[in-house]
Amino acid sequence: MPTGIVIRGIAYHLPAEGVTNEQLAAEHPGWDMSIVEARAGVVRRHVARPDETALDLAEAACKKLFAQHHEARGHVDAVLFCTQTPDYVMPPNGCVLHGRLGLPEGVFTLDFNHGCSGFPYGLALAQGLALAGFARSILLVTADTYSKCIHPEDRSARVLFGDGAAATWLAAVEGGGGLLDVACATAGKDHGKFIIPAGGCRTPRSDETARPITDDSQNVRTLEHIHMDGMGILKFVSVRVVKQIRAVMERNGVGADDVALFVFHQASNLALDSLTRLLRLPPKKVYRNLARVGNTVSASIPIALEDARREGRVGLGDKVLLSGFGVGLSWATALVRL
Amino acid sequence: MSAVERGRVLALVLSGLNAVLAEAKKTPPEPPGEATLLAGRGAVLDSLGLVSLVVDLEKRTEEEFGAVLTLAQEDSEPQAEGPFRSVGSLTDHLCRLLGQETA
Repeated sequence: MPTGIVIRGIAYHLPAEGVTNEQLAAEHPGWDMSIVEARAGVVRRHVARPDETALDLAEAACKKLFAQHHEARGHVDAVLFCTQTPDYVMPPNGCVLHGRLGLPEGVFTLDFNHGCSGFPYGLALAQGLALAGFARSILLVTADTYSKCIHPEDRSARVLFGDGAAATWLAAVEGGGGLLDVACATAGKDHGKFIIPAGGCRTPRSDETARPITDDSQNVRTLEHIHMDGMGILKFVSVRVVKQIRAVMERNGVGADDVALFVFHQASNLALDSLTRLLRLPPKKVYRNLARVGNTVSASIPIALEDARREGRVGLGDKVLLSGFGVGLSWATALVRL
Repeated sequence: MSAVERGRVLALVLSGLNAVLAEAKKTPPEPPGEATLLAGRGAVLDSLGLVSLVVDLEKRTEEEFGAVLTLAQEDSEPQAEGPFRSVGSLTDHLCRLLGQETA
């Protein structure tokens, strides 16, 4: 019987179009992009075409993964698809992807709607499937196109988020495992701190929900767009996320010296600065790639982990700590041996 | 905390605010003081500027007082801006967190 899972490979795909801060400044002369670059940390983000969806990006990421790991294609027996920007209300993206990839009918598929905590949550789900004997070779897909949910005049969100997809191949193993520990948490009472208020069954789209509203910071959005309480999210990161990361490290007897790299969700420079300072981590051990890709939501951690591997920052056998946090509010931290 | 020590905290908040305003190339109509609004209608900072100030202040507090603290407490006042409404309220909040009574 399996005793755990290991990450066998990661591939990702970004939309071809990159939007730079210079382009945003040219489009919006009133936006001071210098403070945005310093504080958000994003210089360039990739944006999907109008006819390109998270599913399309995910399919491309999976095909890259299969090209790099030929043995994966014929062995996938579960697909976990994390997205908040699916092609349809129904059917689930995982089923459509299953068809596009030509996978056999015996494959278990499941979509889950999580944001920036999606990757470590997905690892927990995959470990559960493996230990229960449901799957031995799992494709964890994390993909989002938040650009489609952001009002073009909302500087606060537009500068931050980028579109992207990652495909991670996880395999069940016996006698150990790479996922050493994972903790998942939820604060549902705070769901309103990060929300698209309209467009679901609770508040269907209407003329009223399409009416633009300008906030005190001159950001424009409608009820059909992303609303994020920046200070509320900062509180959440500074308190609850820090507490969870400390707890995972403590219960595993792990200090900063034992971890090769901390790969946190690439939320913003401000969030990464806070985590680094409050956890007393050496800055060089906290990975950052958001300057070139932005905050890619659930794809952010695997994209960062793969970039870190390509840069030689981590390798086989290294211990990494992953932590994702966002919509829900939801957060999860995983200790992984690569 | 004595008035002098509160003055030290106020100076720290004002120094942080001036740095964020300079970075954002913003010049408020009047020099910042206790009554300067930081959040909500009439504020000198936008939402990004306010979050930047809070993160900066945490860093400056560690340098100045040796205290690693989180200004953005989850149990802070329920109103939207809470302790971040003005320079004065933020100063009081920081004094409280430093574990001392304000004058």
